[in-house]
Amino acid sequence: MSKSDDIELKPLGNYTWEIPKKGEMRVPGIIYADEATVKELLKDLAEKTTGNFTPALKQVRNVATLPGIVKASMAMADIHPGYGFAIGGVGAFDLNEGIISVAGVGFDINCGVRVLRTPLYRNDIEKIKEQLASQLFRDVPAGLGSTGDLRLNEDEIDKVLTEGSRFVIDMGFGFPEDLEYTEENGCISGAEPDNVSHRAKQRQFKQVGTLGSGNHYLEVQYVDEVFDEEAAKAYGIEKDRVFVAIHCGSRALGHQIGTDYLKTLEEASRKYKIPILDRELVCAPIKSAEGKRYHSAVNCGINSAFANRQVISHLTRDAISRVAGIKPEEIELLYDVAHNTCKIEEHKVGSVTKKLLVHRKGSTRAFGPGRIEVPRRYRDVGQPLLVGGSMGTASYILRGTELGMEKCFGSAIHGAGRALSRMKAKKKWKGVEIINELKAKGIIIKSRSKSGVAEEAPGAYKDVDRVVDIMHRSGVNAKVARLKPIVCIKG
Amino acid sequence: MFKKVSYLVCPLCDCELPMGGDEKLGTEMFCPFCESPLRLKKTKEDILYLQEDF
Repeated sequence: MSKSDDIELKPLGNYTWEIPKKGEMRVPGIIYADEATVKELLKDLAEKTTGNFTPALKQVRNVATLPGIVKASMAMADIHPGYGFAIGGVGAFDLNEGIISVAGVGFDINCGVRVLRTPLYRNDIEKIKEQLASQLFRDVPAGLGSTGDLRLNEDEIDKVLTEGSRFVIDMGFGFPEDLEYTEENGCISGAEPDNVSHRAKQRQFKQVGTLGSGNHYLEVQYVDEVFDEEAAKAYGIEKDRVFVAIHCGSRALGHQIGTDYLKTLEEASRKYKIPILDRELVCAPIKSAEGKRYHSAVNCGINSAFANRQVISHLTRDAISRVAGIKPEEIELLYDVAHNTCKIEEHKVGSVTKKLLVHRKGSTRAFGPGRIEVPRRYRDVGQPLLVGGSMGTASYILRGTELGMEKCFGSAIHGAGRALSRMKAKKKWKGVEIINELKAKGIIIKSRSKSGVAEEAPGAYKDVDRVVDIMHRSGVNAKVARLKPIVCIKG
Repeated sequence: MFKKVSYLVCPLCDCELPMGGDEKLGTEMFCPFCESPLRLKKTKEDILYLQEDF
């Protein structure tokens, strides 16, 4: 048993650790980690004892005290401290007694990853990668406050919020088949635009089809290694085949929904006398008027992000087809999956199947084989999900497993997680040096901001291989393939 | 001494962070949008601001 600051960590085997239920906790905490990660988490817990900073283990404990939480407060192997909930955190709540939390979703609602499968192979791209990088950089708007050519009025934004990908596909951005390979078919129900402020909508007028900034990116990658032939076959993955990963979310709209509802839920926490151990965990009962309004606004944010990635896919297909001389329809959607959401899902709790509101904050949905939500083509092997590494390192395609459904509501990691702050990364590296170093390795980086490149330097991130291995060895996710970058358009 | 504010802006993504009023200089917090760790600081003119801290 490892112990620090009154939080104990008990090893359960298979890279799984438990914070036993104690005090105000309604359920235990469950963390997927190796010994080295546990050491880091406990060190953080022991050292950060002052101020408002809440170490990740405490955040997992705090979530375990929230009303209506079911089974356990969980964190995946990429656990690190975040706003209220740890990043990599999963919390499922009973619909009658449970709560909905802004921190459990994150402000970048439905930030997620979409992966396109091209008919091209590494050799095809090597010859044209410079030209392709320039074309993608010209065609896909990126950067802080970036705006695209698509200008929508408020009525059209309302359509985006209620219809998601479907609305922009009807406008000509993509193909109807894309919907089958998008989580929720690219449109979650229960989205009511009246619950989203005018200011939030206004901020989205010019931002549909834009990457944004920070760790958001568009990357052209090739398959470096296949680990699971059966799943790879189902997903259309072969060694050296070229894929495109798009990582972004709901931009300023999600940001504004979060800002607006943080105030609403702060008042609701007081009104409904919800006991919270951290101010960042303000929440409302799911069935309260405030909770329903926020949930509906989250659904609007989810649809907006699906539409955003759909338009970016169209721009990407267009750019690649022009440079590579292929047809846009030859570039198919492998899958689009979110890692900042709360959604009503059916899960087995003991011997009973229940509807729960599952918050995933920096955690990807990873449904196992047989689930009806998984596209028919993938249903025998489970849902695919992409785990991003950093520029210059690897990304992984994993799949959901039956054990994952049983243990952690079908959830997965979402990335490697930062090891160095942006500021320290900027002090340590120069953007130009990173660009040149990666170019020597055959990777082309395009960004409007050189300091932004330094912030996202490969050395600023944790080892993605290690994080993925923890989840794979625990059995809750399974490795399918590793991909390496060729071109990176940085947001 | 510094003047209390209802929110401060994340230096990395421009997100507005609500302040509870009980924060002290050096208080650490996370941006709810980009999730960057931030620390509360003040200028010579006693104006509060947030700086990234890891």
